[in-house]
Amino acid sequence: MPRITLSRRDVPRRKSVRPARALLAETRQFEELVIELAGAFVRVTSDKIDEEINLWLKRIVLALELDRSTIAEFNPADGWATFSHGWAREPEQIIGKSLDANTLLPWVKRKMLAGEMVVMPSVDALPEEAAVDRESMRRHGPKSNVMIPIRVGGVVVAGVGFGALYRERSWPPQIVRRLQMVAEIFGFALERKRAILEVLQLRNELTYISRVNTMGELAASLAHEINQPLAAIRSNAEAIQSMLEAEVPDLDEVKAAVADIVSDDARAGDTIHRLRALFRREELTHSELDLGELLREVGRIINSDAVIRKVSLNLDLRQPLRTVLADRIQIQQAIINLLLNAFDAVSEVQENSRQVTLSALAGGSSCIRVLVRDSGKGIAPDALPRIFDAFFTTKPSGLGMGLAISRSIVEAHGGRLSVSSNPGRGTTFEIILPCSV
Amino acid sequence: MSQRTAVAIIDDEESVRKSLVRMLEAKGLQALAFPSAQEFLGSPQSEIVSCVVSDLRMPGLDGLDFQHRLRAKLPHLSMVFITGHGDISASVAAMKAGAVDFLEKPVKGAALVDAILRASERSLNLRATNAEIDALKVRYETLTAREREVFSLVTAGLLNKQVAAELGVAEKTIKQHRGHVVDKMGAQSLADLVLMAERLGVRPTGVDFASARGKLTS
Repeated sequence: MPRITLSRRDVPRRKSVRPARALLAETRQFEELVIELAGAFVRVTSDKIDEEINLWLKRIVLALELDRSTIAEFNPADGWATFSHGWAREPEQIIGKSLDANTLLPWVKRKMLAGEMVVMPSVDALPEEAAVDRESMRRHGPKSNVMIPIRVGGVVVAGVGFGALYRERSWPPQIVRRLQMVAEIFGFALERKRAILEVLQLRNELTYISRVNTMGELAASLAHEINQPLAAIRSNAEAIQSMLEAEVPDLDEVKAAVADIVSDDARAGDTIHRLRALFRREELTHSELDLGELLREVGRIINSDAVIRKVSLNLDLRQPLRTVLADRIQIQQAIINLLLNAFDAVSEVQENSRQVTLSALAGGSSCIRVLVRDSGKGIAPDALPRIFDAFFTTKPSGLGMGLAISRSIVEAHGGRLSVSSNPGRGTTFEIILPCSV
Repeated sequence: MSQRTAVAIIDDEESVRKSLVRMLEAKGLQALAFPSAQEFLGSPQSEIVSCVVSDLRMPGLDGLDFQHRLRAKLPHLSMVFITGHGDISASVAAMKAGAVDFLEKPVKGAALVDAILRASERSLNLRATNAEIDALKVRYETLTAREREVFSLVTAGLLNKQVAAELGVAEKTIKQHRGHVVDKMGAQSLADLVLMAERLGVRPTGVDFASARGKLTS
């Protein structure tokens, strides 16, 4: 980890005592600043939290006529501290740098981890036991500062420091109290950010598990997809063996058989490649998708299942379709989910009336509509509003997550998933996705 | 056999059809491919094959329905099912409905040829039996109503005089009718005649010997 290098300043030490009135004015102004800060952090959205923290560090530095303010996060494993937020008058690259708190600031580190703040009007003010820290400060650090621990989830995870590099200054208790409040507010904000990240991670996890589960339901289909080319390869290979045993083998026919083997092998490999992608646990990768091609692939994946369940699956693609910027695997997952539901819906009607239609068309000039229509019995009006709820299912062996996850996927792409149903006449699910601009 | 065994291959996937045809031809059989059961049933070539190899699950008319249709149109044809879908319940149903064999893809060439030869033999035997029965039917048509009655009663095991009593005519008349029946049917012996009656389904199964006037229960 790169060591932080603080530049040395050759400034004569001078105690600076500020007049009482000035201190009072400063206190009052600072109070207002902190009230404004509190309001800002109530309103800030989780994705702007880091930005906002840096902004306010700057404002505090300027308001208190300091030189620098930073937040350093502790790494409990090795005792190093890494700067995650900061602002300084002299532009220097602070954020991302780390320092070895064990070696340089052991006493400060102990204090912070114990939840105690450190108020240092001057370096000499540090007690005897902080001899090492004093030395570090003299050589590299501020002349005067306040360091306050930040808790997230009840544990001290970081410390925020406000420092003056060239002058010593006093820290009236009212100011220090306000700075403690600021540290607390930062703590809440960082906690909120962590919670949101956790939720996002859980959602990704759930989406992945659901996808694997769905693919498991298609197991027969998948086995068939791979089995067909394998069967053809085998028969061709046996044919070649027989042909080569003849007195005068028909080499043209042998060549044709070999060509077929190569092509079927490519087909099998392609299928496995596609299926593997669906089983992979990957980060979202957005790309320009041609929905026509995507739907045709979905059709191939689910075809075997349709045949086994005696469902007539129709693909209706209205060209031209503009591209959509989205994660291919997740969009396929959402559509496969809807199709499997449709297959379940029509399993209740007699065999030659099982119709499911998958269609795509442009929706105005800015979006694409994908529809899954089935000829099943439809959804009862009282069940309809709850159909996207997590854990809502009408199937005895269902988890009830499929539609909730499909909707979450579509909405994460800026789209909408809706349903319309007429009891006795079937159900239609509609996905609307925004086109790439 | 001077002719090659002809077999029909029915599968909705082209690569599977091509490869099966290629393999069977390389092993000396004559293979004719069809993309669907409907196409096979509608083709004149359906008359010349001695065995049908079909995928169990296909869009449109699938394997089991096909089996029923086939039995109606070409009752002597035997079926071998192959499938890539691996569903067990359908395979059981197929065997119960009289398929000769059921193989899972990827199919071993030797196993398939073996099944085809068994199926072809069965088809040929069935065909022969049906031909024989048809010939018998033609001869049966030439019998008069009375002669048919005598045919039935005699092959049921009644003595001439019992038949006479049953029909209310003289024993001598019965002997005459019996002679005509034997001639027209071309039977070599009584046992022969009985077998013919069995095959034609005109031999009564229950006769009350105790009472000569008893109704024939067949």
